[in-house]
Amino acid sequence: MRYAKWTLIALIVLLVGGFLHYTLPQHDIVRIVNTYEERQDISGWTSMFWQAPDNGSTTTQNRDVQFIQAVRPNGKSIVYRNEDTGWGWPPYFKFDTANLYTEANDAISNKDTPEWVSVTHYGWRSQVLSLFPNAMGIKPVPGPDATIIPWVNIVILTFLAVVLLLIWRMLAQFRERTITPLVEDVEDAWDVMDEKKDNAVDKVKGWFKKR
Amino acid sequence: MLGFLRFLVIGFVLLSVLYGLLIVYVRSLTRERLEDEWAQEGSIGDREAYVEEGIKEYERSFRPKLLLLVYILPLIAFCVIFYVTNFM
Repeated sequence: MRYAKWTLIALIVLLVGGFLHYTLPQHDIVRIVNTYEERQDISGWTSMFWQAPDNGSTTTQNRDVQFIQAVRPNGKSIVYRNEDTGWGWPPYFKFDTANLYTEANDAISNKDTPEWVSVTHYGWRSQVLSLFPNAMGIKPVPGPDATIIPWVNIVILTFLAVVLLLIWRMLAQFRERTITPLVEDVEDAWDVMDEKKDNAVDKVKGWFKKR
Repeated sequence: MLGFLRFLVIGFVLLSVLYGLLIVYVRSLTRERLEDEWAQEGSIGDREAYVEEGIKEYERSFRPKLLLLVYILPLIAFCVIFYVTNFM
């Protein structure tokens, strides 16, 4: 039973943590080396890691997607996709895909004269599943080891903590003010019933005593 | 456009649920506070009447209207996110 409980807790932590890690913005300091556009066949369960099709093109399962290729300071490569999130999930309301593509092209630099940028993105890169993080913004930084304070994440996580606290307080209040009096009422009713029963039993016993 | 409408409707419904819950919660807190006040003042007079009077006063005051921030703050957040993502 204890194992089951901890497995469940671990599973919930993993799910919530994974969801937040996927959805919240992150910053990578990279050097952009190229951009390209490629037809993508978006089908199967991994389609949930791509944007939903536009209105009016709900039947097409493949479309052109823009990609941004970059290299990290340690020499490892990373590829971002560049897609509008529109009004859908996650709520970044990104509509400037074309502008971002232009900025990315403008920021292309080579090894000899590197131009470091911070790419804000959400999502995961998976080579096996062909998943790409979605780039949200590009900002020049002075060097490969510039520090970026994740203010947005601090605000969002603080806000989530406050919401959790509020839900907990609301439930406590509901239990204290509504459930407990209800239970007490029922208990009182039981007591009254008990008393009546006892009286009845005494009465019956009384009959037999008299006899 | 359809996406925008869907976003608007879903957002409004979710915020309304939150708004309703908050109204009930804050009223419950107020009621509890009034009951405690009544006991502290020496349990004079009818408890129910005292609490009802206090609730009415609360509802006339500005504080319940502050809960409308539940609609306003997300709207501001939306505008900020929209601006930062697309125009900065």
